[in-house]
Amino acid sequence: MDNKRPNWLTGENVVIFILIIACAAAFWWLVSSINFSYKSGYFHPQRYPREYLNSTTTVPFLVSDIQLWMTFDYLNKVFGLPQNYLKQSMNIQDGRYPNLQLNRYAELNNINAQEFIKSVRSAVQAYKK
Amino acid sequence: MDVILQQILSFILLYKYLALFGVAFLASLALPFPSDSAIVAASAFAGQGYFNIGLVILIASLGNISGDYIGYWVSRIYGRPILYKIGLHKVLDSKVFTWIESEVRVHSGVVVLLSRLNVFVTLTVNIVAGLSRMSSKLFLLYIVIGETIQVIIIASIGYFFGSNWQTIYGIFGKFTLVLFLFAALMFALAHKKAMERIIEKRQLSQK
Repeated sequence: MDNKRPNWLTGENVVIFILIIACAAAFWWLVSSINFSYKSGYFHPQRYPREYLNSTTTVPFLVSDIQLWMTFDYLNKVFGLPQNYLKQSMNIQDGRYPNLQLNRYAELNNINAQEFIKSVRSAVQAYKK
Repeated sequence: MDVILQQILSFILLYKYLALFGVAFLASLALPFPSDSAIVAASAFAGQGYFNIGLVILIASLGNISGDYIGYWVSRIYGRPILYKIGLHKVLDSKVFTWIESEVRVHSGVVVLLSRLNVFVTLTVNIVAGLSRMSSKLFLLYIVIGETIQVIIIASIGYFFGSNWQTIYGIFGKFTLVLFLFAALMFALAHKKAMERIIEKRQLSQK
């Protein structure tokens, strides 16, 4: 019986074959991601309330987007809050304010993080009204 | 969003441009920092008015370029001695690696420029460029151009897409993967054709 390997089964051809399969799989993955993102509304301009579309900044920012890793300084700037508004309304005594992360403040003062983020969002929402 | 990225974003909000430079620089030195995600996020912050987008692009580019250039020189000066010491001399002396080195030298511009789009390929090309002793001036020129273009592309994702940046950036990452696999396939096919021509010429000359 002839056990010789076929002429076309060289190392180079195997690499080319694997690259073709990998290209096709990656392309399929890309197209399915775009399809999923489109259906989820990431490319739709109506995702944000109308008031934000006329904003001078390119990126609208909602109160619900506030996260624990953000700092007070950042919230002051993106929401246009007075420098000491959050300090007074939430009775923050820490000398590092406003250059202090929300989660770090909650941790230092033994406050439940989820409750704290809700109170921050309420304080910002109260000012915007 | 993963915990490491959250920590880095907090770090950037606290220490601003200095932190952005540090993250970009350390990521270019092969340390596991999500530099591209940090640049996209910093650009989103610029879109919200917290940073200046021009400064974000400049500082991030400088961080990447500095890290790449230092990585190149470390590889150039210490690469071979270290690899020989840890027993990888067979890899360095192999025909495949010699061929890769020669291809990087011949197509240095295209290889260095395109490699900036993917962090793993960037690090590999930096190391190979150093090992193959590519001209340092040429390497610097290509990384300045390549990194600036790369930072502008990813910064625009953050600046214009804002809080959707993670999704859009994920799609961009998949797109660059497809691009690289396709480029690798074209490269392999071109190499196969070149080898076939060489063999054919040899056979003809022997006749």
